[in-house]
Amino acid sequence: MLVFIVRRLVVSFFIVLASTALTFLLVALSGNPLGDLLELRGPTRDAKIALRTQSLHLNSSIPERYVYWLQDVGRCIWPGSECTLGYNRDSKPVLPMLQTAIGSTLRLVLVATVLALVLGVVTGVITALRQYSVFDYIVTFVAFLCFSLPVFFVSTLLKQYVAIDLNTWLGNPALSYGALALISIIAGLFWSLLIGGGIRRAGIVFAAGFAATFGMLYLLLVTDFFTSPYFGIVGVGIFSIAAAVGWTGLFSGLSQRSRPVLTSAVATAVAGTIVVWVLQKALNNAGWLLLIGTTVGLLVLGVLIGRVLGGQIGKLAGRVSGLVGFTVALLMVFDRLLQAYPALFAATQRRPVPTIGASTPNLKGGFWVEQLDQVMHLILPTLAIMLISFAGYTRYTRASMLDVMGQDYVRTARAKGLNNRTVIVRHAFRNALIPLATLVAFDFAGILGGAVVTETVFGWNGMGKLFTDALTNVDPNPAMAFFLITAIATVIFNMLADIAYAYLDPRIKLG
Amino acid sequence: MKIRRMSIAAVVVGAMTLSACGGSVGGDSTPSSTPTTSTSAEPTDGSSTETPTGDTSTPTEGSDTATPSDTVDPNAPIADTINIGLEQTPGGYNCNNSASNSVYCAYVDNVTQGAFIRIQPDGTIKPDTEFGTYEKTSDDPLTVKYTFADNAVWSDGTPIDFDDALLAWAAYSGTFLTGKKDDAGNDVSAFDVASTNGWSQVKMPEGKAGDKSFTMVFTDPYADWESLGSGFMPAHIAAEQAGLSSADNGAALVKAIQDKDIDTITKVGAFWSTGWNYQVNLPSLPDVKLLPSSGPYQVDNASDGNLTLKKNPKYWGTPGKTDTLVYKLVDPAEWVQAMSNGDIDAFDPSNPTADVVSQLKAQPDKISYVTGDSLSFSHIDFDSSPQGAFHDIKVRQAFLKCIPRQEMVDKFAKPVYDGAQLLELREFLPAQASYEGILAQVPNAHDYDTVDIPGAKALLDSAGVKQPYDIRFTYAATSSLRADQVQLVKASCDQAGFNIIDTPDPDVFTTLSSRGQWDAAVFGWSGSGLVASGESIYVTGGDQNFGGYSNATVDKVWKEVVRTVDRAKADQMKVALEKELWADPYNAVLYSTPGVAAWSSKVSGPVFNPTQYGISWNAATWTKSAE
Repeated sequence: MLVFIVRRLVVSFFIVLASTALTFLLVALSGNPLGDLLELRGPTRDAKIALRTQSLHLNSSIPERYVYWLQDVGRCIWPGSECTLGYNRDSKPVLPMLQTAIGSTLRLVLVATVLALVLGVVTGVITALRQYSVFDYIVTFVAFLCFSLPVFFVSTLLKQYVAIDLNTWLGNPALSYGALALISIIAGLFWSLLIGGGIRRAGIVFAAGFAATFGMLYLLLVTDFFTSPYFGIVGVGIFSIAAAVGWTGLFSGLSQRSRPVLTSAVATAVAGTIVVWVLQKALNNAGWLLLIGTTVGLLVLGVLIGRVLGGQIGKLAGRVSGLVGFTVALLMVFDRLLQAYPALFAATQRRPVPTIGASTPNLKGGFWVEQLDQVMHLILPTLAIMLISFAGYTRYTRASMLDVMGQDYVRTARAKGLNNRTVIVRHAFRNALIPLATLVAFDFAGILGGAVVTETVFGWNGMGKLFTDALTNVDPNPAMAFFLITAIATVIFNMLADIAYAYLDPRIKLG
Repeated sequence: MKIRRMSIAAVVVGAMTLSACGGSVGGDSTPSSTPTTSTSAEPTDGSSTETPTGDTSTPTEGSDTATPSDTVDPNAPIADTINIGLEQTPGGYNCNNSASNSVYCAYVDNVTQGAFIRIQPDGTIKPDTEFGTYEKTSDDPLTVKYTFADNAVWSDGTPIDFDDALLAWAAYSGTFLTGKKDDAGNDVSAFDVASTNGWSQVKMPEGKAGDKSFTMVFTDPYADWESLGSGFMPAHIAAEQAGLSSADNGAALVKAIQDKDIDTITKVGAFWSTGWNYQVNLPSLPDVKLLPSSGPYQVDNASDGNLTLKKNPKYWGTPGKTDTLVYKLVDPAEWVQAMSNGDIDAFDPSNPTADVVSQLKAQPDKISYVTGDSLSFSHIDFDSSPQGAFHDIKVRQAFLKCIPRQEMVDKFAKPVYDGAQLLELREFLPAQASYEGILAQVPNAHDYDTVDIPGAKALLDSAGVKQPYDIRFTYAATSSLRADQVQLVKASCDQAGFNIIDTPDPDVFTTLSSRGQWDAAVFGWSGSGLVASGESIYVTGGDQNFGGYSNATVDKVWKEVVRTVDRAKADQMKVALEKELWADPYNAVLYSTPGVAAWSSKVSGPVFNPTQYGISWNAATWTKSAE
């Protein structure tokens, strides 16, 4: 294993070196870096040209400039020397630009990728289980539609409907009964297609879904939920217990035999809610430390309760209860963000969903208002990225899941009398995730490259924007910094994917 | 109230059909009868949308004039924040070094830096007597006495006085050299200054630390002397950062400059050149203590590309009307939606298109806008050097006769600004107050207003050149606009005996500087508003005289203009210049690039400002209704 890693790293070094040389040449030949200054007229022209020529070494030949750039990179590795990664066209060091860009890209793309992954895998599994059902066809259709839509077009639509119009609606939230009925019909159809079954069952599910949605929306509207939303400790409690039952059902079943799991999960939900209630005051002025501490605490609490109450299946109970504890933490955050909404609503002059930028400047109101503001800024770009990458994950998971479900060992598992849930969750699903590991590794390497169009359209100064700006301005050093980071990320994550594959699939050996 | 706009897109169509069910849930309980949109059709006073009217240019008001945009009730409570969109973040606090110098830096400087003068939207210079006063005390040698206002202080309380003026001179005069050479072998100045224009002809101001006034004595007459009364940076900050004491009104710095102590000055210059720079895209600010203000606002903080200014409590003049101004980075393709959503309140795009104008027109309830002539203009240059295809004046005249200038105005400028007109002068633009008056004195400016193919053909015949006469027509390869323009010229001039060869070029300006690579070229210049800056375009051997044009009269007039210290007199002298540039044609001027300024209907105060100071030039007077 060690030999493999060392060998790969050495090879990777030369790959990165060669690719940077090639890209440097391409960037240098892509245009005249002085182009915009030559168009200037008036007294400032000469000084600006001289300064840029000096900081980009434009009087030297391209190979010489590449050596200068390598020296700049070398200074970042050599301790004690000033690391700038060269200067951009305005004679500013590139390193701080890169740091800001990586920071905002991680904020933006990481969330979107994780969400798309979770949602895509879940949808993929469901469509595989309901192969050739109406639901399957609809998801396939939607996935391909999203996949083929250009991001800038999706973004413009999102800005119009999810920002401009939604904001106007939120200013005075009201729905006519007709609209209410239509939304409820759509929701009812969604649930009946998702759950499936015969006509009778579909009808019942539709009716239930329709009634629930209609009633829920009606209640939310008449109680002014959309202007001053509420959730509260009661909401946290109810939804925690629901989550406890749900997670237990999924991972251990609700049979008599797994009763201890259910007991410990519900106990965790109750205990967690009490913890949240006790911490209420402290959480008002929370910071990241307290938030992460509380989350970890709730998780550990769940695991402990599971181990203690789980008896013989304590390990499983611990895992499920841990998950419940984590869910309680999520619900707590949700509750806090909702509480912060009225403050943000007022601070943004009744238009809480922005179309550009990463944060609202000069926001007062504390930690939770700031976090909600960040969430609001993330909504549109995250949706745009998710719509695209979601499609890929769904298709991969579906194919892989179908493949596994047809394997002999799954038939064997069924033959020995295991119930459907165990076969799917324990035996099929896990193995279906192995091919996905490669895809995920690539995508996480791609995250550092940013989302070029999305970042530009939504005004995020991330890696993608850094790269496109550098290219359009013929600004070699930021473009090279981008390449350096993405090239390194690609070779490293490639290696990690190979290692993970060998670990997950014992049939594969590295060497 | 029923659904307002399309809240959930998919729902709307169905909702319309189903809304016959009647009734609604939630929202304002008032049984309002306004059915769908929230268009405010209130009558408006429109008083706050004065447009800058020069003698000639009257920018057209947006939103189709029926509802004059501004729906601001003067008595309504005002919002505490106005957001101004920028296409790029400013490069630094000191806009006068060559790294930070840009229009985006000037957009912030407008409200944070005091100056003796304010450039008005029509290009005229207006003294700012709150900051101080100045008077020309002698013509020979040109001498100007400046006096800072008695109570003028930086926002940290330090008085604005002699050390600030002396530092400005030390930086802009380019006198102090470090003794080092750069790669190209040029001397490196202690101050990396964007321009030494004008200041390099000023002698070191006499005086002592703490003086409120200083005198600039010019070694040569300088036409744009009045534009120099700006760009004063806080000397006490520069001194402290260079390790000097700032006590006694900056006596240490004053002494160092007066004694020409080059080591100390180099340290001050190093800070002046880079110490005030911001990071790219403004993730944060340097220590705000280093960034004191001399205007109605001071910089407060920056994050994620947003720069926040707060009112300067120490400002002695008319205070800003709104508490906070925020400059927000916005992509030029996305700003209309950002303004509809209230993310930005004011913006003037650098490259407005007809498409943008129609989007603005579509939402008169949310956005007010004004279109007008900007200070940049398009023109077709000729290679009229002895080896050039256009050396013969008859060929130039023939070409001018066949270029469809009016058609270009109609096709490329009018869709954005309906008042766009044929540009007839080179040193004056329609956006400037003086344009019409000068044009009236240049009758031959109208010689080529209409296309005359037979006339062009006759001239080309009499020139005795081989027909069809090949013309390599160069333009920026990335610009579809320029490509379309060349096609128009080709369609017309090929009939007159020319053969236009379409030559897109990725690097136009490098090609332009190399003689023999091109015959004609279409590109834009941006006007600087200065009297003398056009010299290098038109005189023999000038840096931007790409076509090698040479005319004795033109050279002679320029020589006199640059030494004329009276602006009105200099303008008058240029009449002869304009006449000669048509008689012995220099180039074909086409039109002023149309400009747009847009702002939220809640904001009152902005006007269209085509100068490099941009829309924010009067941001201190803006107010925004808080609904």
